[in-house]
Amino acid sequence: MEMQVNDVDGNFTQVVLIGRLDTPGVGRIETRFLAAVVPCGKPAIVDLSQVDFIASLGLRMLLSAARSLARKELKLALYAPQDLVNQVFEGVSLHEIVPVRPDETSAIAAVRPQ
Amino acid sequence: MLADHTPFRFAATSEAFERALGELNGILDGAGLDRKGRYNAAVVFEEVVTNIVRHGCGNGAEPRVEVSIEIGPEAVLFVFTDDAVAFNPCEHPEPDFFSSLISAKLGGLGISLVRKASTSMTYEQTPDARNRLTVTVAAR
Repeated sequence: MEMQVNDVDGNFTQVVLIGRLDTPGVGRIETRFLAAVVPCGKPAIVDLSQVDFIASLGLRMLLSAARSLARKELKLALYAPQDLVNQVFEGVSLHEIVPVRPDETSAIAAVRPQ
Repeated sequence: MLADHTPFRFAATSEAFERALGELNGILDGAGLDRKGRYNAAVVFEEVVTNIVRHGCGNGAEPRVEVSIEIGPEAVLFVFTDDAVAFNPCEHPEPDFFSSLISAKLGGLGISLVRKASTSMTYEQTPDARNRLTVTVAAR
């Protein structure tokens, strides 16, 4: 599991995740992921287009980040999940509390402060 | 054609689990499953064994896990046997997770994912007091 962190226009944090969000994968990046997303004081978008597997610990990692940002009245959106990853999201109704969008543009729109 | 693989036997540690996961992925890659079947089989293995590793050490001793896999044209049959703390996931209620983000429960998703990825799940305690969980996953 790898991750890349970008700053989008100085207003958003973008994290690109690459690989498998299985137990070992989460173990490798969770601390860095949360450190990249939570303390910045900006909304965040997470690119899942290159994530080909997610299990419960991966869901927990994403939810933890979203919840920590929500406590600061900031949003996190996920975007471009592969079909089987999105199937997992739908199975637990994740979209009801975390925006899941098809692309970067709509993800930014979902987290932009009103 | 039914493929019956040599059971995995390993200690319920993170390191051993990661090695077993690598072996499993190799088996699944060569099994001729469709993408969804392969994905669901990986979810079942990951979630059941992770649960044992994370929660199974009740008396401090490291549990031992044995996983047998049979791969057929229609289904993958897993049998997980372990000597961890007695736990029947079939009796674990389906949680109501996501009423709001702030109050969202971060744990307990694993069993729910296993239920969604499988076509059947049954539990028994063996005569020597081990947990035995049998899970069937549709191959396609």
